[in-house]
Amino acid sequence: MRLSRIKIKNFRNFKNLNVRLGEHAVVLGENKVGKTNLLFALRLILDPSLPDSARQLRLDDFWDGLERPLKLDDVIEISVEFRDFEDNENLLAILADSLVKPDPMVARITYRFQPISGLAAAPRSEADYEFILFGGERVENSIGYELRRWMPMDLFPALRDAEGDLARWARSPFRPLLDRAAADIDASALQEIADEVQETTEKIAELPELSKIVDDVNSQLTDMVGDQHAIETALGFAPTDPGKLLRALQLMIDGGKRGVSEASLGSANVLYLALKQLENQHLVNEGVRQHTFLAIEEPEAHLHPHLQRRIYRNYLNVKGDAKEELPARNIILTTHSPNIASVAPLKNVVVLRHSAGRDHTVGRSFHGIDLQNAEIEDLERYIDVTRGELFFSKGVILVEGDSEKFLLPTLARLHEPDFDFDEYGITVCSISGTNFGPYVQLLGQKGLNCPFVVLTDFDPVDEEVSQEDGDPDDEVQQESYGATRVVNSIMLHLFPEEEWEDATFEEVLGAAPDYGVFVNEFTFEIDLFKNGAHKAFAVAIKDLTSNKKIHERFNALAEDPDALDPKQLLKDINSVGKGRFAQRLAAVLQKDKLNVCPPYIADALSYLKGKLE
Amino acid sequence: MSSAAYIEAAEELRENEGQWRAYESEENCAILAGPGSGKTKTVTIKIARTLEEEIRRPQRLACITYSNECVRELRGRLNALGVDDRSRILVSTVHSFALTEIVMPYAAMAGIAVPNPIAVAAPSKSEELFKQAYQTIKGVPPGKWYRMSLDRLRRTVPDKSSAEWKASNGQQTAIIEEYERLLLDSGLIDFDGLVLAGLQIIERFEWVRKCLRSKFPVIVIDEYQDLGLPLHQMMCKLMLEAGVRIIAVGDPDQSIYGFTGAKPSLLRDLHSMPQVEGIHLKLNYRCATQIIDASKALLDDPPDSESHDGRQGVITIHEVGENVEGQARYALDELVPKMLEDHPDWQLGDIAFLYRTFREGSSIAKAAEERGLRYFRLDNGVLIKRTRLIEFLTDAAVWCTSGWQTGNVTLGQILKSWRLLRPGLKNEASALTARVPLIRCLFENRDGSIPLRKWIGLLYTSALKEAFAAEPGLADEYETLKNLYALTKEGKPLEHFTVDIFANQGRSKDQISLITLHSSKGLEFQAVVMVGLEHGDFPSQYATADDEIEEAARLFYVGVTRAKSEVHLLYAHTESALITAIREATA
Repeated sequence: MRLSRIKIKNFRNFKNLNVRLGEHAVVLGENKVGKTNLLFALRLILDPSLPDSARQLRLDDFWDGLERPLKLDDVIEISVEFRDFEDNENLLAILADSLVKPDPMVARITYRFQPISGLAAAPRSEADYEFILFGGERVENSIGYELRRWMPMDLFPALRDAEGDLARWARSPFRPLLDRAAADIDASALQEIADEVQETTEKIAELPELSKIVDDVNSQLTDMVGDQHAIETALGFAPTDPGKLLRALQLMIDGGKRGVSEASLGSANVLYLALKQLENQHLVNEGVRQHTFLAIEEPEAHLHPHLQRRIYRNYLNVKGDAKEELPARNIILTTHSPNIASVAPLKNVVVLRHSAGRDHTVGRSFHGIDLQNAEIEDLERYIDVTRGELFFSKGVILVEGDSEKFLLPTLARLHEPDFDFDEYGITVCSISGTNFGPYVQLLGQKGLNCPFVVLTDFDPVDEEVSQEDGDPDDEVQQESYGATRVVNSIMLHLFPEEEWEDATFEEVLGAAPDYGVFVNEFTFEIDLFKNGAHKAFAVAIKDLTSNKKIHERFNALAEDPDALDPKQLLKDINSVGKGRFAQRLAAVLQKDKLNVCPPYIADALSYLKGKLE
Repeated sequence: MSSAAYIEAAEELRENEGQWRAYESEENCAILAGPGSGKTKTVTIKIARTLEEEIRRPQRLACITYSNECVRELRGRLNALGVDDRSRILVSTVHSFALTEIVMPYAAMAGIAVPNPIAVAAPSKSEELFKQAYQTIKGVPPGKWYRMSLDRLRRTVPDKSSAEWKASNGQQTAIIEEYERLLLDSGLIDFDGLVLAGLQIIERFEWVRKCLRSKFPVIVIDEYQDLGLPLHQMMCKLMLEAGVRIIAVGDPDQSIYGFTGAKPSLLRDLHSMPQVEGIHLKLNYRCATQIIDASKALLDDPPDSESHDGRQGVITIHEVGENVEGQARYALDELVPKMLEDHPDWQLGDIAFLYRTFREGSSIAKAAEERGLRYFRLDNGVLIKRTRLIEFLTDAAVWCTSGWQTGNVTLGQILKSWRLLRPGLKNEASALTARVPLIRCLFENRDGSIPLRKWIGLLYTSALKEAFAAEPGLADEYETLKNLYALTKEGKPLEHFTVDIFANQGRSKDQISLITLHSSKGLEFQAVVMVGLEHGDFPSQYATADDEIEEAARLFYVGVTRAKSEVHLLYAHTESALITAIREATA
């Protein structure tokens, strides 16, 4: 089973959230965007340890954007949908009365905080409100503890004390595991061991140095409280009662050299999670519960980045072949760690962000977009190596390669002194090629819905150096590979579907800038060169190569830019490395405060800035 | 649940081969259980065992039976075995099973036309619409007995797209279709409609069967012979296609509800299916040897049942020469005093008069009144009509009398039916508030000896009055309550009724019972007096079809087998052929 959708209406910072989920949910978002509120919303429905007094919300819990005083039809509504339970007859028995779709089966549970019905006038105080929980579409089909007990949500909160819990017997997740094992131990064998322990303990305690301590303590106690109330102490490693003996056992780390209380915070957290998980699986196997939703808040706390990536990459990747034997748990974790974001399978990612007006939070997942497996893998790989930066960006500039990536921040600032990418939260994303399709979909309206622009090369057909990415057999072979790319692989995902059939190639191409897609006249370096960077090119190349012929050619072009042979220029730049050249050029431009921003980049920047303001 | 309770109880089944097989059965099974064969005991112990040993939470066991009366009986017996956890077992009537487990959760998704929200038509409303439909199709208002054949057709040919339906009487099918349309247009569904909708949903949707299989891996059906074709088809579908395990119990020889579409062959069919283990409970713990032998003479294919102790009994046949009232007088003056004399431990309540219709009941009642004898009457002429409100009041009365101690009716159950009477309460908070005075009143009056009139008055002021005011749908029920209350006035028949007697549907030990044969099912008496067994009346001369004649014989069989020790058969001049059969068999 899995949680397949969460809807939240009018609750705290959520005006109208509606996200679809994959096997697990990795909820990403900056601080204060409402990650904890999202978990609390789920707890209202799924957490059996949450008392009903906490389910009775307060007026403050209504979304701030609702006009006050609240009206009769203002309600807080939280609903979750479940899927993939129909082959488990126990889960189906629990959810059968809450179905909303039969094939494949979808069940829904709804929490609603509403004015008490029959209220004649508008509600005035909290006393005028009640909460209801119901399954399916029928309000009278009320849901209570029974459901939460079978498929509970276990919350592992951000401010947790894993170390302390592990150390205290009563709270330790180790306790139920040990208790379970203890039940199977032969009592007489245990007694025998207890006797041996006692014997050994006595030997130690009889050492004169030690027995003196005990005597001192006991006589001190007697002095203080008198004979009647004195507590008799003795030294020992463990209680000698066989029933309690096992409780004295503790997990050791580092090959038994140190107790778990000496573990680092990070290891304690990992250990805690592992024990919890084992216990949950036991509970399912024993039929005490049927499923667990394990919610972990900020799993990155106290974990080294490498460990974060390692643990959660494995933890979250229980998909694919393991389909037949899905573990009876889903993980819901909230994080702002780019390290965890970067290893989460794309289908499991939920991004929370502030709405344009910043007055509520919107959520995005990638279930609406139709990507091929290979494309998903590409994106996941990209996200992995860039540490999930896309998820945290407010605006994105998609470019073909590292040259653009290195130069764009500089070009922008020289073009417009206030335009600082970091300040705006803009990421320049190099896709190392021209396959913009998946990225455009990821960022587009059905995906992250994040403002973005695409910068791509015109790549004239008659130039050898052009990037030839279109299908040569394409009927519409234009004068430019770039134009074909823009229309057939980028605008395809952006242009309104219903107008696509009727629009001509030229119309779509012409409309591209309206959708944030900008094409140059040749290729990035050539356009820069032609836009006044010819002298800077010569300065930049100087330190990068000792090849005299290249120096000569660049110097000549600095004097006479019209003599440009694009093929030769690009060849020379490639010989020193495009990226390296771009980095050097950026430094040169910066030093001379030279604004050489080509018009297509200037247009793109002003488009993006417009979107962000 | 204490597991010991049923294990101990099961020891009583061990000596009886059929009962023990039923107890040990691990598959689908159909248990043919004759009169006095310990059917209810067997089935409740079986349920307790299945729950304890096979059903794991969150799955449940469903137990479906014929009437609310049977539900109460089963609950009481199960409670005694320690099976009282409602989260593990659902005991309900077919109608309420169809409503709460099929129609309400799935009809909308399945796209089956039922009103939303579901509102069950009051019988008077349903009658009104049926008449209207008749008038529309036939152009004339219906006669007195028009409903019976329509109801029967509706219940025996559930599938309206079937060839059988199309081949049926065109005007009748048209009336039924028109009636169902009118009902739906009024936003209503009737009891038959619920079961038919339930059947349609189960037959058509694999996912519904899967849901039901997950919720109820085992379904027990008691009184299977009474439940008719739609339920039979539902159960076969669930068993054969969804793998639900069916445990069916009943007695085809006591199938006497042909007019509702029930047939003895349904349980026999189930019994003979290869997927079903067929079990016979042969020992009769109730009837004396002579009575068993006599009863067998009534059936073409009698069960090979036998007495468990060889006890001797009495069967007498009396030609009285007078009509039913005369027969009643004869019985009350001659037979009854003799029985009480012969058996000093018997009371009037151990003797029952059984007959076919309420008219005979009225004649006997008259004769009893003339003699100052107290009697209890259970027939169509019964003063208390069985409506939803009356069922609710009966449950409440049972709770006040004994339920609060024994749990055969629980407060939770009463509150649940109360909730169903109050659809106007849209949320839980208002429902909780509205039930407070009801609960208070019930708690304050937990005493079976309170006069019924006082008890009703208190309930009315504390809870019912407000409900009638708030729920327009209860208009019919208001009339019912007014009538009931009027009957408890001084000088009226229910004047001396207490809550206890009302809870027992009026029965008490010092009253002679006047009961129709149909209502006598499941009951037992030391002695049974059957009157009006005239040739031409029993079976009726109008009953010509084989199945009608056979059903009359089964009805006679039910009557005879109510008796433990004595059966007295009375007629005026010419004895019924069924008496002749008995005379020949016992000669």
